[in-house]
Amino acid sequence: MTHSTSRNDYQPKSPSPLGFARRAFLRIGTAGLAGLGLPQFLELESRARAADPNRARRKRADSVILVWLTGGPSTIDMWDMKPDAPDEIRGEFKPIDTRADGIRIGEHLPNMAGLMHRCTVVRSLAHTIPDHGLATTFMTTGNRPTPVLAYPGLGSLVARLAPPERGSPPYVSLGDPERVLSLAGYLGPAYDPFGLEVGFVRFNPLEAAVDTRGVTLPADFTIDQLANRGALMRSFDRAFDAVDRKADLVDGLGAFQRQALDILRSKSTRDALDLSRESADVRDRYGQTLFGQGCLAARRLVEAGVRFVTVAAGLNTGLNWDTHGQNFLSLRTTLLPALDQTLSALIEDLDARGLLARTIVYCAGEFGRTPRINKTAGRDHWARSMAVVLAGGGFKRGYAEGSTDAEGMAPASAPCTPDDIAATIVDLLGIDPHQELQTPSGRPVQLFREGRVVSDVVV
Amino acid sequence: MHPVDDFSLANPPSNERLLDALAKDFVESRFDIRHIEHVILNSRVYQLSSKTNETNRLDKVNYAHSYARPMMAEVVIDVLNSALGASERWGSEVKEGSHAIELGISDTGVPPLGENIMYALRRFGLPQRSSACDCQRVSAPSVAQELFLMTDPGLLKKLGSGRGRLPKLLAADMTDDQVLDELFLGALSRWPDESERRAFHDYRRKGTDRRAAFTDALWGLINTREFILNH
Repeated sequence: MTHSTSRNDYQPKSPSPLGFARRAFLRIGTAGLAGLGLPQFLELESRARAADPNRARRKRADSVILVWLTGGPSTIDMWDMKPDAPDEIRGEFKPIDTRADGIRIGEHLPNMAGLMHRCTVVRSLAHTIPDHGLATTFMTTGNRPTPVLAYPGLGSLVARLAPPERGSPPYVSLGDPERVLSLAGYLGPAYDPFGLEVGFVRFNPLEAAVDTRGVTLPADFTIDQLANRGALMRSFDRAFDAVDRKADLVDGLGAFQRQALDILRSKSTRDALDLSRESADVRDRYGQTLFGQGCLAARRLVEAGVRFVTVAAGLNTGLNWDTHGQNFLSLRTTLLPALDQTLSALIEDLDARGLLARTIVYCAGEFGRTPRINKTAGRDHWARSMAVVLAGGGFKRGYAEGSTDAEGMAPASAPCTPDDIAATIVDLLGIDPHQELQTPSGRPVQLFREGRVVSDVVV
Repeated sequence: MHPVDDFSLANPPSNERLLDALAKDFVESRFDIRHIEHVILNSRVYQLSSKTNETNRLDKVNYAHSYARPMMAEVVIDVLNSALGASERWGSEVKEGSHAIELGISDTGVPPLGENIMYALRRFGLPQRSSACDCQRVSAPSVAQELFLMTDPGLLKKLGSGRGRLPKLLAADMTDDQVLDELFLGALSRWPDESERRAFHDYRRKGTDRRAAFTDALWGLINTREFILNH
């Protein structure tokens, strides 16, 4: 078995599960009652953060880019092929060698084959929820969904526990207007992602761009004017502090006001979203598609200090991974060429800029697809086996974790779950995956109920 | 019921007896919508204040007091227009001055809706009509919404547009205090308090341009939490 509950550099739990943080929370709680304003509250919070046990942890990554294949990718045709299985399982594609010894992947991912020596592929990931919504929740929160508590998505956790310097949004989601991916759950709306849309430039369907409307000030609106107006706004807004100021919504909105002002003042976020600053070569390398340019924007955002970026390759980008029919046709003609070009460009580009060492790229969907091919040459939902690819930020290079059985139905060795991968990612970011946070009603909740760090996949 | 239009076994009401009583009353009134509105709006619970007292200030569930909540996308458009004294052009098929909430707008992205208004509606959670129920509607604040209120070019234009509230007030023979009162009443339905008055006068003294100072004040008002939350 490859699980380990502790690693050498793993810190023993403090006697109180929260250690200093609990006392800090209590102080903040009473401070709130004593009528401290939000700035003081935030200052206390940042002091609590400075004394946070996470500070002492070894931190091997600063940021995460989650490349989300909405609908559930057929990973048996991509990362975990079964060439020796019967026809009705093997499928139409052949495996090819990659630059990582002993790792073979699907023939329609040639660029990724040239990069597998920089990636970890986990082939033994499995869960039991073949439903899009619930499986997405499981994969993106690292907690099995439950009706009693909404767990925060990984991006929201990172925004809460490893926030960036002021001026850049902690968590950005690109191309997910329907908000399929998990929101901040019990952390409250203040930690929801900053959602931006990627679209084609008007009158030019060949050029995709991030919709930066709202991120920049109009030409006749100066930074000074913004500061003046902001001050006036705050003096008019103070009266509202008397109204239910402990409500999450009121508090969350206050945080958004500050973030919005910070973003408008910050040149780096604005510039990061301006894809026209990239050379035509780089833009072409990522692909002049909504997904391609979304990934380029993700890299630029990470460079600008954003901690977590989600890029969804779903219906709104013209990619449908939910291949119940004509699985092989869709994969061969549309899905895999798009993924191969963009994902390889992203990893290569991050590496060339020296960012890959501190940035985790995580490519996954909510589940895999049935090994047995259906009557319409499609594959249906299959959560009991799936493969994901991880690169950078402390993940091993050129490594395959676990395996599935001969027919790809279930893990055969080193099984792991969405909780484990989530805990591993969070651990690399220097966040203790076993720590507790509190819900708005004061209930202590562990970050991950089940997740254990998969030490085999980490350098 | 939450969400309000999802009546199903999977989504039980939070207070079944209350819902049953209201249903019974609705039937007995021969399905009189005005009547049931009257009953609900006049109920003690509906009229609870969002201001808390010593005994309920920590309560966050069960409606011990009213809770601040976000408004629907259509209502956001309407309250913005109302505060700015502006109106929306909905195209030739809809009477000018109609409220967004009256229209049953779909996110189809086609005329008569201009791009501007669709963008705003989406930002504030109007779902794309990709399923039969309204359950995709996200009514939660976001940074993107704040940014919209602060920087949207269409909205900024309305702030000082010729037909709006502010230019009319500035053209009338009114003192600064009277104009400020009108802006507060238009945006927040209340008078400014002393500290707010003082804040504005201090601000006004710093600059020379009366119009700019009031434009900034109106911008400040529509960016307060008090304005954008239903409380």
